[in-house]
This record gives sequence, structure tokens and C-alpha cells, in this order.
Amino acid sequence: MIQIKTLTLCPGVLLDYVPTEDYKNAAFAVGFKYKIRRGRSAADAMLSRLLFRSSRDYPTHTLFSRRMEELYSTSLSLQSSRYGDFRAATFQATFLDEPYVHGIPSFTREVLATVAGAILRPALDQNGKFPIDVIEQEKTTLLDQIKAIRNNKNAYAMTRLIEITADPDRYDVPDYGTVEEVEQITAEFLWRRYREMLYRSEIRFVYEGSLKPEEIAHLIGELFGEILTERRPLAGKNCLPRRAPHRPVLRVREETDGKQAMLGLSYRLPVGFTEPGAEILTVLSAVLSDAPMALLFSEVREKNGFCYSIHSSLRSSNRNLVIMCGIAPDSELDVERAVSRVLSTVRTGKTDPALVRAALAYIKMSVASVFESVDATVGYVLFRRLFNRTVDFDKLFERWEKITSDDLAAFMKKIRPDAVYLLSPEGGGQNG
Amino acid sequence: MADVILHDHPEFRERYYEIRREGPPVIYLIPKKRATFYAVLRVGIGSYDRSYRDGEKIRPILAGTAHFLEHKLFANPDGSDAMERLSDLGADANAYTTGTSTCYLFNCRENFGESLKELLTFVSEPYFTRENVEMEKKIILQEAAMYGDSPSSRLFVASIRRLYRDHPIRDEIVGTPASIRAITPSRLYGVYRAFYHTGNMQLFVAGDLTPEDVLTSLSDVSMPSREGEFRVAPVAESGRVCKTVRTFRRRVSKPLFNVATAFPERYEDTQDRQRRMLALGIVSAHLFSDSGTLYGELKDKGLVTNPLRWMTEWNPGVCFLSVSGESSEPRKVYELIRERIRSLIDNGISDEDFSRLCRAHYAENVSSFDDAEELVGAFCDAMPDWEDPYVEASLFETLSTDYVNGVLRELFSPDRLNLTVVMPDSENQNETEDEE
Repeated sequence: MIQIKTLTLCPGVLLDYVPTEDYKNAAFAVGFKYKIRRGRSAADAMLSRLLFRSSRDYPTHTLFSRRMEELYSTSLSLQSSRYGDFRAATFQATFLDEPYVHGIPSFTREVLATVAGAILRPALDQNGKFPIDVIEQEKTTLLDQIKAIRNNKNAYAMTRLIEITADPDRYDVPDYGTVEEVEQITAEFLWRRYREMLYRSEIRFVYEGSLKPEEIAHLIGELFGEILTERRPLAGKNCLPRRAPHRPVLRVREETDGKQAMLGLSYRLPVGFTEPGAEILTVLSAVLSDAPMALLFSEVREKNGFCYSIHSSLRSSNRNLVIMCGIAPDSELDVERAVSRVLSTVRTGKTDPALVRAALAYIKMSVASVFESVDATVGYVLFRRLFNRTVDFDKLFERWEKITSDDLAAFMKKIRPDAVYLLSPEGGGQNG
Repeated sequence: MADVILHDHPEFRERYYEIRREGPPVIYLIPKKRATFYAVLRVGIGSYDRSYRDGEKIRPILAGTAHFLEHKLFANPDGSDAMERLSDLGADANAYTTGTSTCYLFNCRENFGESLKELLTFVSEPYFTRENVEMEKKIILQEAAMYGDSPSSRLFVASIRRLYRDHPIRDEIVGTPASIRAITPSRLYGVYRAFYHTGNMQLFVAGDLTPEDVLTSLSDVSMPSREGEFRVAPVAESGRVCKTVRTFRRRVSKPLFNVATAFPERYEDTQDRQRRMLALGIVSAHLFSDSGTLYGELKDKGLVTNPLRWMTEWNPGVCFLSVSGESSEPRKVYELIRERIRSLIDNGISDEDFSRLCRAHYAENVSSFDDAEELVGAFCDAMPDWEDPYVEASLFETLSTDYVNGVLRELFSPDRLNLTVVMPDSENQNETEDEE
């Protein structure tokens, strides 16, 4: 599906080069994979934000933003997520490719130099550390972000469902941490974590654009040279281990304002994203909610009119399948029964083979669509490489195509209900 | 026989075909070397359409009707669902409604011709019964409740209502609970017959295709056509200025604010309007984006943390700017915005800032040409009266600092800004709501 050329920049540090044609954009990303520390998710989330807001050469956010505009509206994105024992911090730039830029020679070099400057030469105070006032500002921003989740019912319900099913002994915390963690962040810890990210992590680079592989490798060597030191794979698991035998199903009910209730149903999965046999998760997700006319959509919405939006998602952070929908306040039992019918359909091997075929077609198209976006391709390849997942999609398609209704049934029998969370309007709301 | 016009834009290495033929609507084909195909059928009806001509009569359209039609057209007379048929072909279908359009779309990797035929067929065969309309009401009422429960959505709607007294933009695209409940099959059929015909549609297709590929797929498709006037344009409004602040309460962590202003619709021709819109975008970015000094000042003073969100819209009868964000002191933010606009009117945008922002906007336009969905979306938005996205990108060259400053001084005034606020429902229980 895509051809990737992999170059070795130094022992243990690789560049994945994706050739491009017929695109206006190019993209470059660098990812760091390092060990998670319990109770430090907030600091890790903040670290990424600190690095992509300014640099020594552009020491305020205003100047840094202007630099991006000068570079033909280069778009920067960062992600900081945890998978099992690890944190993945990825920094990506998407920019106009060289043939479409006028007046800036060696444009790609300018973009990469700005990215390298942000990551390797951040704006520091006279003590050579992250400035306290900037840290305090970012703390406030992060706190606002955590608290603002309640503004979005769907996001809030999902967060609460993850929290109530979390196992604190296994580092099950939101990616961006908790309010208490944010308040405990210190400049000293951030600096230590920064150095750990740069020098004691696994690193990977990805590029897609019109420059040749050797040109990009040379630029990375020139601009990121100080971190191109030998790296070895870190010990640890990419996925949380299976939990102890299940406890009784948790049922939690909380109140909110407005008219609509949010119902979240959580189920424990026997396999995590990055474990052998995980490809069935993709097909299951498509059959349940991603594919057109998926089971939840058909049964809960179209046949019964119980909701406008229902979706399922696979939570790698706690190995759960979550089904979330917005419903009328008095209909949660009806919706639970409808969802139960859907899962029973799959469990008893009655998933329509036409739906399984449609799900596979949808998956193929979704993957193909990713590779039609330079931005999405680079992010996707980087993530999969950091966590040792295949980028050989032809082989992956072969595995997906072998999955049948019976396979889904066998898998579904191993899924256990875990929790039911209802966020309901005070006084029952009013249905419209 | 078909007329095929090639529009070539070598400066961007882009081209598209305009295909006119008896039968299907006008077709715009954007050739792209991709593994997937994308098609959108745009119908020129949206939530701003609130009446239509039926012979000598003017008939009203209930709020939410265009959106209801979008949902219901997937139902087929034989009881099947068009989405299911498209899914069997390996296509992923969807639809959406805006103020001026309703769009039916799909993407796929295979069976493109059959999927395209299915798309045009199901849109041509409406099937509304009392039973299926009542079922859809339940779903759409949940959709309305979902938006109703969103504080940011309520804030925007409240802000727009203060800006416009009569224009249909006051009503949400989904309609109101009362208007949704009042929809009947006969009302739907009436609106369908008025608006759903090839003279009011355009078909956009992107993928590794030739005009012959598309025409072959549609060789035996029959679609409704119609003669005569049907459209009643909404009355243009220049927008109101409200001297008081509208405040209401929701369960939010911090106050949300919206500052909005309307602009008069003045332009000489299509290109002039488009240039003015580009200039408006540059002025707005200068004022409200991360690279502007306003955001830096607001952040340093602790008045905001996250970036401001802003948007502009120019559609029949409405032209406005809306800026929103979160702040513990929304009125201070409002005063700073006014002050900044006043200062900018006095001093103008510098050549350096103009050049940088123009370059950034141009780049955003050109970057979007890679994405078939985004590009087709831009074509849809341009219908029927705007220039296509490639022409728009080339218009940046015709702008100048003086031109943009002229638009700034003509359109902006610090005394024509409305403030609307959502306060946390746990705070200031004794504060009364200001109403105009």
C-alpha cells in the first residue's frame, strides 16, 4: 500500500522515508518513547506543550507563531500519550513542499531547523531551566483543560467511565494527568524529565515529501545531531497486563444539567492493541460502530430511534471496549437492552456476513484514506514504528480478511461487562 | 453529447473539468491520483431557506426541514436504506446540511460507478410516510438535545440571535423541538419538489477518473428537473448592535464569552466580494490569532489561557465575525478587543504583518488542495456565486496593505461589537441576567 524506506541514522535511531507524488504538502515528525512514571502524566503532557510554544530563537509564543506564518503557515502538532509502561511524545510539522514555496531557499531545512530549535534549544531562564512564569502559565492552561471537560457531556462521561474502571495500581490515569498532579509539577522535575526524554528514550523520525532520503537524513544529522546517540530498546510492555478476575459490574449514576443523558457501557477485553491477535479488535470495532450501518447504529438508532449518536471505542489505557451514547433520560434500560441484543448477535455468531464484508471494506478504505494525507501518514507510521506494529498493510489486510462471524463470536465470549455509567439531567430533564 | 470544459491551473498543478449534459446536474470532476474516490451531490437548499414559490403562492418552510430531508432521503420505497445499499458496495456514505446547502456524499475504493448511480438514484426517489417521519423525529430530537446541552453551541446561537433580528440564521439547522414535531410527509414532499431538481444541484467527484468514466456511470440515470422560479431569498440584514450584555448560566468550569459583529454586504462583483472576504480573513487573523499581540496581552494578563476561536461567514443576507473563548473576566476581554480594534483602525496593519499573514493564508489555501474532501468542500461552499478555490488562491496576489486597511476601516468599528456570556451556574447566584 505504501512503500517505506528505512535508513539508519545511528545505532538504534531510524528514519522512515515515505516517497510522495502529486502532493502539495510535506510532513516531518520525531517521536520519543520513554518510561512512564507513576503520577507524572501531567508533567509529561506539559513538557510537550512547553517545547512547541517557543524556542531560544523565538522566545515568546507570539514570535514563535509568527515564525510559523513566515514558514508558509507551517502547522505544528504534538501528542503525548501513554501505552502500557511507556509515554510517547511526538512532534510533527506539516508544511508546503518545496515546489510550492517562493522566496525561501532550502525551505525544508528552515522548517526542520525551527522544529529542532523548539525541541533542542527551548527558551530558558538565566538558570538554564524552563522559566517559572511560563510553567505557571502552562499549569493554568492544563488545569483549565482538565476542568473544561465537564463542558462537553460526551467527553466528561467518557472520562468518568475511565476513572471509575481504572485500576490505580496499574498507572491507569488520563493522558494529561489529574488536577493534583498538575499542582505538584516543579521546574526541576520538568527539566529532569526533558533530559530523560532527549537522551534516555527510543527515538524515531518519519518524513514524507519531495526531498530525497539522503537529503533528509543529512538534514537530521545536521540539525538533531546532539541527540543522535546510540539507543537500545527499552524494557517494558506496550500494553497494560491483563487484570485480575473481574469484580461485580460497577453501576454509577451522576447528575448534570440539560436535557440529554449520557450512557456509557464498559467491557473488559482479553487482548490489548499491541498484543498478538489484536487485529480482531479493528474488525470488531467496525462491525459495532465504525462501518456504515454498523450494528449499534442500526439497532439502537435506526430501528428504535433511541439516540442520535452512538459509538464504540477501544481504550488501550485500560483494555476496555466502551460504548457511549446520548439518550433521553428515561430510556437507559431500553438502550442497555438494545446494546445487549447487539452484543448477543455477535456472540452467537449471527453477525451478517455482508456486514463483516462491509466492515472490511470500510477498514481498507479508512487505511487507504490515511495514506492519502501526508499529515496523517507520517503520524500513523511514527506511532506504529514506535510501538513495533507492522506497517505492512498488505499482510495486515490478509489477516483481517480471514476474520469471520465465528471468530468474532469466539472473541466476544471472552469479553466481560465491567461498568455502567449514567450521567443524567437533574429532575429527569425534558425530552425536547 | 456533453460539453466538457477544462479549467487548468498550472500554477498549482491542478485542474478540473466542468461537464454539462442533459439529465444529471452540472458535474465538476477533480482528477486526483488516489486509491479512493469521493463524490458529493450538493443541493441548493439549507436552513436559511424558509419559504418557496409554489406557482403564485409563497409557502413557508418550517425550521429544520432541509435537515430533516437530509436524514429522510436515505429511506427507499422498498423499505431498504440507501446507506445499507452503498455499504454493500463498499462505500461509506454520509450527509450534512448548512445554511445554504444540503450535501450527500460517499467515499469508496471500489464500485465507484455503481455507488455514484446509487447516490443520484436515492436522492431522486423520496419516500416519506407518517411512520418513518415519526421515527426520524425521535432521532432528530435527540440531536437537537445534544446541541442544546452544549454550552458553546448555546452561546453561539444566543450571540447570533442578538446580531440578527429576522434572518433565518437565528434558528439552528436542526430546527426547534416544536418545528421538528410539526413536520409532516406532505410538507417534506412540497419542499422536496421545489428544491430537489437538477437545476438546483451540482455533482462533485474527485479521484483517478476521466470525464468519460463519470458520464458512463450516469448514462441511464434519470433525475427530476423543474421549470420556473422557486426560491425566495431571505431578506438581508445589516445586523444589530446591542448595548447590553446577554448573560446566561450553564454547567461550565469557567465563563465562556462570544464577541460578534455584523458587516454590511457591499461589493461590485463576485471577485470583489471574494477579495473583500480574503481581506476580512487577514484582518481577523491579525487581531485574534496566536501571532497577534492581543492574544499575547490577554494571556500575560491572565485573562485567557487557550487561544481565541474566531470565524467569519458571508452568505445570502448575512456577513459577520464571531470570536469566542474562556475567561474569568469576559468584560475585560471585551474591552481589550474594542481597544485593539480602535488602535488598528488608527494605525493600520503594517506591510510586514500584511505580507506574513497573506503568505500564511495563501499557504493554507494551497495546502488544502491535497485533501479531496476539503477541496470538494471548498467547491461546495463556493456554489453558486463564488469563485472556485483555485481562483480564490490566486486572488491573494491582487491584495495590498492599502486594500486590506481600506476594508478594515470600512467594516470594523469598536462600537459595533456584541458581548454574550455563559456563566458557571455555581457562581454569583444573585446576579441577574441582562437582556436588551
